[in-house]
Amino acid sequence: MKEHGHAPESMRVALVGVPNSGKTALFNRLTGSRQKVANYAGVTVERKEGSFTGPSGRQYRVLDLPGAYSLTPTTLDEAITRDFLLGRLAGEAAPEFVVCVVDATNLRLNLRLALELRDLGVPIVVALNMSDLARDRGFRLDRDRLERELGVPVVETVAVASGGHERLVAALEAVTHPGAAPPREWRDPSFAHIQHTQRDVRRILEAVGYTEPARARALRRLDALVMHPLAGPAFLALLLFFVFQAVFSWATLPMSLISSGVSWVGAEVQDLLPGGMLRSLLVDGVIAGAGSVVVFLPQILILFLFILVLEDTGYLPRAAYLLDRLMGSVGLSGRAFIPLLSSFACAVPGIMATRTIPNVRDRLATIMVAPLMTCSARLPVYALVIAAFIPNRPVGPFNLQGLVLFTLYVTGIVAAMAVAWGLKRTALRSSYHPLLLELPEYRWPNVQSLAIGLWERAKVFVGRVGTIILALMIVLWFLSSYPAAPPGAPGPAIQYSYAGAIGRALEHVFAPIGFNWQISLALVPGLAAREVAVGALGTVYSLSATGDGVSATLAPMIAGTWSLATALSLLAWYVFAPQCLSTLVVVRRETNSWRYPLLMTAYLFALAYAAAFLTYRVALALGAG
Amino acid sequence: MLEQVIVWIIVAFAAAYAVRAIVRSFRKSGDHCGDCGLQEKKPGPRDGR
Repeated sequence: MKEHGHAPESMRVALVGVPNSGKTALFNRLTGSRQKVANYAGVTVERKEGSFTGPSGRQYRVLDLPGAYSLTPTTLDEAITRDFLLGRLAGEAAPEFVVCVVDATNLRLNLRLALELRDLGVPIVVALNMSDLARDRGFRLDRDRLERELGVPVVETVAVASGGHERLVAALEAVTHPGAAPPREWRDPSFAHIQHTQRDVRRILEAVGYTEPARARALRRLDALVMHPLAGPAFLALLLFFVFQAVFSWATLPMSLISSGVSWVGAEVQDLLPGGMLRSLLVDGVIAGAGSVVVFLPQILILFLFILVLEDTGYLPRAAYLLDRLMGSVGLSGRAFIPLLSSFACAVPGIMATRTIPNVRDRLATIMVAPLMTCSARLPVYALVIAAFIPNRPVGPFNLQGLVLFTLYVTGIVAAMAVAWGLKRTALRSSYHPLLLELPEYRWPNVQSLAIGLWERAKVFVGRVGTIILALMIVLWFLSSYPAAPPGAPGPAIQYSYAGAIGRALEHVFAPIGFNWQISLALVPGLAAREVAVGALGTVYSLSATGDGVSATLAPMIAGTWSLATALSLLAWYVFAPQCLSTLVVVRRETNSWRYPLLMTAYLFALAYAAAFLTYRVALALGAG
Repeated sequence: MLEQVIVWIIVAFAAAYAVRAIVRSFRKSGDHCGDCGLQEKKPGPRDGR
């Protein structure tokens, strides 16, 4: 580079780098608040432009380009970056200078892009970002040698520290204005060429003495095991198995404590108030209804504890990598993993997370199958039926109840894969897009963030019990108590109520799958939120109980009333159960059409009915009636 | 009589709340589930950088 004559002309500089290299932090450090944020023409990819003046008086117009791993695009972001650099983007001139921001703690991944940019012939400077962190963690490299190997200036930057950009500014000031960018050609490299570039990366890293700290080497070995084609999936299966076992076995004590507490409150209210409507409302509606849902709080928290731990340790993206082959075999994008995983908590954030899937058909297919992942609201239903009907006994090293729960979750996953397979071979056909994702470092979970995560989840659950579930339980109690039974009528009063009439009307539809009128009735408020079905059963059975005493807990009551075939049929129903209203609304919003939520309702209802029918009939044939 | 009035008020309030919650779920906007409060996960820069 020649020394610059300090003419105060303006230069267009583009910041390019892989995602998470600290590019945007460097952009903010350089430009401060002098930024304009818009979209690139015709797409919803953010365009950030800012400016600053160098010590020489030269003006710099800086563009923060979308993150890219290479110039061979696999996402819209990468295509925008490549086209911008080549001057192919409508209304955008190619940059005159490029700053390639690389993460000094992850050169193995970052250098390929730097080599491609160099080979493209753009004038560049490489910003070795996070150089402080790299030094602290024990990474070593010879910067001068790296500069010689790359043949371009290399400067250390610390985008998050005040003054951490000064060396970069000095390097920019030192270059002669390259003038308007000439037209450049880029042809996607062959596989052999990509391999050659990778070899070049390894050679350069060796030449510059890039040494990783011992911890990084040990973790690389751990990755080799965790992501092994055979050992990896086996480990994942074992892990999930353990999680579902723990959901049952660890929750026993806290659940029985909460259950005893609910019963005690019910008995106290029963003794305190004189017999009448108010007492029935509080005991049968509020306490029996909402109380039967709140009992499941420990199981939900245990499930979330595991999800949070796996997320915090950095294991989840590795699981995405392991499952990419499975996803690809049914035509789904590897990017579908995170949305589908989120759907285990709730389908709503899962469906929103599909926005990261660039291909519209892949995205629609993911949205359509997301509700088949078992959301946490289904857990109370599963747990209730399993506790009532499946014996708590060991099967080898496992527990039978945990085994059944695991099977239900797996059935949901298998069903989702089967539906995706069907969709991707018919209405939503598209080509396969390979998964490219950066694996975060392993780290110990942070106890404080785990505690905050669990506290938030507990607040959400208890908040739901105290609001929408409680409100629906009171409405259900009213429908179950009015009109009163005629004088001298045999059987509990609920049979003569509005709810009784609704339940009996629905029973005609659901009798073939073994549902009695109480279950049929509970499915209706369950559409507002699935776990309401458990509360509804609590209220309905509490009011159905003969005598004036507080009813026993729900599980033994349904165990004495339903057949095993009915219980299994209900479990099968809930694996596929048509969605709660919130999910359908979010599908409408995300797809901007009623077509998909209606299609989703229809196919889930058909699947749920078919699965429950089959389960019920097979169970009856096997003598479980 | 008073007991009847209290019960009716509670039921009316609960019904209004349930209807409002369901209607709001059709209107709500933003990146979160208005019912369960869970939010869409957005990727953030590593270590805040």
